[in-house]
Amino acid sequence: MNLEALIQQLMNGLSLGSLYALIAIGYTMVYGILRLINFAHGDIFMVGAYCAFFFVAIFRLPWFLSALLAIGLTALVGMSVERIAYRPVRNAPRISALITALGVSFFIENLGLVTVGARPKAFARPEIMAKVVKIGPAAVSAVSIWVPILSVLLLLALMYVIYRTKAGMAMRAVSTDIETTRLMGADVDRIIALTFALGSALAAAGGIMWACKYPQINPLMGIYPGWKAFTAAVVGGIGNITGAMLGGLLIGMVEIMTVAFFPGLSGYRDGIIFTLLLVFLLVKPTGILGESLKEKV
Amino acid sequence: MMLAIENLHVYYGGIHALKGISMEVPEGSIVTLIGANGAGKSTTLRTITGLVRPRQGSIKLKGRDISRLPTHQIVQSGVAMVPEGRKIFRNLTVRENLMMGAYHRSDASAVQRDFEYVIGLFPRLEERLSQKGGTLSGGEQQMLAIGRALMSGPSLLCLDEPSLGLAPLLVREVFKALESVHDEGRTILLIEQNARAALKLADYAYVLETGVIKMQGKASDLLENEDVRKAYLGG
Repeated sequence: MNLEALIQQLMNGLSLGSLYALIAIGYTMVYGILRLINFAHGDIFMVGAYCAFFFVAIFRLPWFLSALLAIGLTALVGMSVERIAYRPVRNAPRISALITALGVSFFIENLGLVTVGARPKAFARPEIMAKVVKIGPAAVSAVSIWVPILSVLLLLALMYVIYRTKAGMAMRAVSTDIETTRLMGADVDRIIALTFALGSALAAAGGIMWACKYPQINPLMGIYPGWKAFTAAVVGGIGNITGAMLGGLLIGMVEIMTVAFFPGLSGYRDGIIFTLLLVFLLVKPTGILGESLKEKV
Repeated sequence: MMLAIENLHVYYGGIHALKGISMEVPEGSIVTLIGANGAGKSTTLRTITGLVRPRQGSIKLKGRDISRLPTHQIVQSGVAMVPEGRKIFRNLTVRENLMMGAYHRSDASAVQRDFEYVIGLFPRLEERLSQKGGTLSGGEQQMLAIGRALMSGPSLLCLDEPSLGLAPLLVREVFKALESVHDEGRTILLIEQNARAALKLADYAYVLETGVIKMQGKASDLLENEDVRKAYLGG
């Protein structure tokens, strides 16, 4: 492989990886707090892309305003999912919550198929994302540069919220001990709702950037990115936010580099990622940075 | 009356854990509830703080029934709890643990005053403020748990077995701190298996046996009582 192609592939892996990271954080935050795998999270990502699409295509709003509104609206959708579907089963056995999550996922996908149709829609990306930029000898699409930059900014903002604000402190407290957080006079339901809002907002941002990178959207577009981001969260150590970022980047790079170095295997790109998931679940289920479950009593 | 519990019945599944207990905690007093393991002491505290729901009966805080309120509202109306086993947020720093205690308060200067008060009460915490809660020793964690509860500026401080698992020297230190908290005019409801230490500290005591109040009286009287001595003070 020549230098030009290598740079292109690195940027590809970096941008795909940061998108996985953005989605993976939603899985890991919800798991950290409720010990629930929110299988509908990939579909929330799809909702984000569609919201932006409709704000631009139907309401004719400027692109960046549409993206912001879409992120806000998707956060509300995520909060509603928690309120309507997950809160009633919060104290039920974990398997009930898990099945509920699968149900919500199918519901959102099929609601999408019924309402907006199965036919893919062309996503209009802004000028600034569509350009081609030179890095050294390589011509790289601008979106592959913008995605990692915007992702890093979003992740820094998230870290600020989690480690420097009162609400973030409460989220960390809930993830250690819900009952004791209640004893602090904190309304745990609101903290959980906020967690869903943040995770869904990041997923929406991811979905919109995904649609800029692959500008064809359809109601099932969230399934594979969702599963791979879930893999990223597990590989990084589920429940651990830094781990989710790391896992996302790793999964993105592995996926792109497999295809780049072994073009013959490109048909197996999804299979390779899910094999990685199985290997981690077998060998190191706590992931790269995850803590052992023993401490979580 | 700070706290008045009347005819409280609590069930755990099919088990009748509290069978109509009534007790009172006068303002400014230390009241202790002693009894053997499984007598229902913790259940009583968990019901007061809304973690467990009563089937029947009332719990009045300064005359207002709080028995149907959600936990966070009970805490906001002035009940603070030091839970059994301390329940420190081990991934939060000592400072953050204390600030979690004041989570529902918006008056920053009052919070700062209480923060300084807690640090004055437990100077050991000051040097550990930026350490993770999980790295503290058992005694320090107990002090942190009490400090965290005081950070909510409570009118009633409830403690569930604060001496559990502590060396005698540390038990003495913790009880001395409680005494000084009481001297500040704070009302305390203390649950203890260490009946001797609790009775020495308290003004009034209740003895709980399998969900029923078996005996009550001035703590100093119970300390002399023959039955109490036999059952709870080791003869």
